[in-house]
Amino acid sequence: MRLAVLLGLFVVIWISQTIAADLGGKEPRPHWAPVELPYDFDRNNIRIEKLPDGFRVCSIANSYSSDLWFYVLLDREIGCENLKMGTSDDDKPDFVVIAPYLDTPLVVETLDDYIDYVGKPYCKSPRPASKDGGLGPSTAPVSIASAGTRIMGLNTVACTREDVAYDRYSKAFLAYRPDPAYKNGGRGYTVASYVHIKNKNAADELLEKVTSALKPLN
Amino acid sequence: MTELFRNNSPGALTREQAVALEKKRQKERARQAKALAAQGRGGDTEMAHLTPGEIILPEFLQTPELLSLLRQAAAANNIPFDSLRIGSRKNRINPNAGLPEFEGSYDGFTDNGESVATIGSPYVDSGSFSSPGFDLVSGGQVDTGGGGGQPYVVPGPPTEGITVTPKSLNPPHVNAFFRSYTGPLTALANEMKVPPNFILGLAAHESAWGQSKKNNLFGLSDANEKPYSYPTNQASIDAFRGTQFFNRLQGKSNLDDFMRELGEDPNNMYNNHSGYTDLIRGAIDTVNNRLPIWEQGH
Repeated sequence: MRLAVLLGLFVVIWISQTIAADLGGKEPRPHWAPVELPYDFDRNNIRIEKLPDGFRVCSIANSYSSDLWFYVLLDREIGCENLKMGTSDDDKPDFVVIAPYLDTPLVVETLDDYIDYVGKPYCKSPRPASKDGGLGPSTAPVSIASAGTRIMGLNTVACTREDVAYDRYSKAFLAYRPDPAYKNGGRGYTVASYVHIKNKNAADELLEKVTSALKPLN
Repeated sequence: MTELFRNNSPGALTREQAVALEKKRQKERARQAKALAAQGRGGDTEMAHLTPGEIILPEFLQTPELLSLLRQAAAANNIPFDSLRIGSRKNRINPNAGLPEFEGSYDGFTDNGESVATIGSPYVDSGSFSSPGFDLVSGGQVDTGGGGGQPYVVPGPPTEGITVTPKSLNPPHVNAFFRSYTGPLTALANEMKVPPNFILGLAAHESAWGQSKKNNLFGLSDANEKPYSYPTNQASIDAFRGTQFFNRLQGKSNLDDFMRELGEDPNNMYNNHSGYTDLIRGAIDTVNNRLPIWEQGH
């Protein structure tokens, strides 16, 4: 009899937990996962087309946040599952990142603003260490130049830095599309490499491929 | 006329040579300043010219309330607030050393060629500051830009009744966000004992200022990576109460503590991409700047 009561109790607990999960009570368990291409990211109005040569695209799956960035690993042998959570970009394997940006209105209104406020990690020199992870400090100079209309036909700027002291090379393309009507806010796009210096040529090549793979959804 | 000042003694520099030499010296001074700046500790990367008695305000003391008061005081004294922030493009630069300076007189301050009106100007163009701020106009002659923004008065010395109008009005969807969610999100923040602007900033970023078609203010997703759809935004606020972050963020009234909690637990971060917390900080900053504009306009 006691056994039956205990079993009944377990069943009741299991059912209530299942119902709670169905109702959205289950907590997400964020983790790195491969992204299947082509990938449509409605939130930021971009499609990532298939990449040649089998490069992997990794992003956070099952997180709380809808704001995703996409990391393309330079080493095709490394799987997304090998990336650690909670580590800075300095601890990641060499990568090219697609970092779309959804406007926070009136801080960013132009490409210059976007570079100033959002592109700091790649375009500011000296660069202080990020407070919350991200890129480490660097006093290496940055070269800033026009990069034509590489990102989806938008005016694009390239920020390049080679930091011998930290053995890191970065090149970032940045573009911003303002919406003067403020109906949807503006959208910014950064595509950036962050690699060891020995890999800079390979990174430049991958950066161009990844940039070409971005298309506007509408 | 210039003949009178020409130095014809042997070895004297021509004007061009003197200018070139001075430029070279300036460059060398700037290089030395950079080398000294690189010696900074604890995240310090900047050097500046300061006057005894001026006060440095570390980031952890920059509460929204204090910033709001300082912003008003700066506006009342015709000082672009951003020009006082270390590292801003709007810092005034000492031409001799190439370093920012913050000396007392800001009369006739110009900022990268952009004019800022002095008190008494009849009209100020709504301007092109890249950062939120205010333009000053004299009483009664205010251009509201046709967008419904209301000017307001900053009381007290040294001027009497300066009328201030936002340099740019909030976009409609930003005002709509504040109108719809300031109340419920402030109530949520009060429950959590955190500054309301932190919650407003997080929700503003995650929902694109309330434009989420799924009524999902906090970007919450299910176990299969799909963002939840809620019947109303209020339902998404209720759902946020059911997440561990409702508990984990409780009492995090310091911005750094709040950010740390969003990203501290490697297995349960709100979002793991490296720029995320910087973007949330930016959104909170925007709320700090834009909420007063909305509050004055209704």
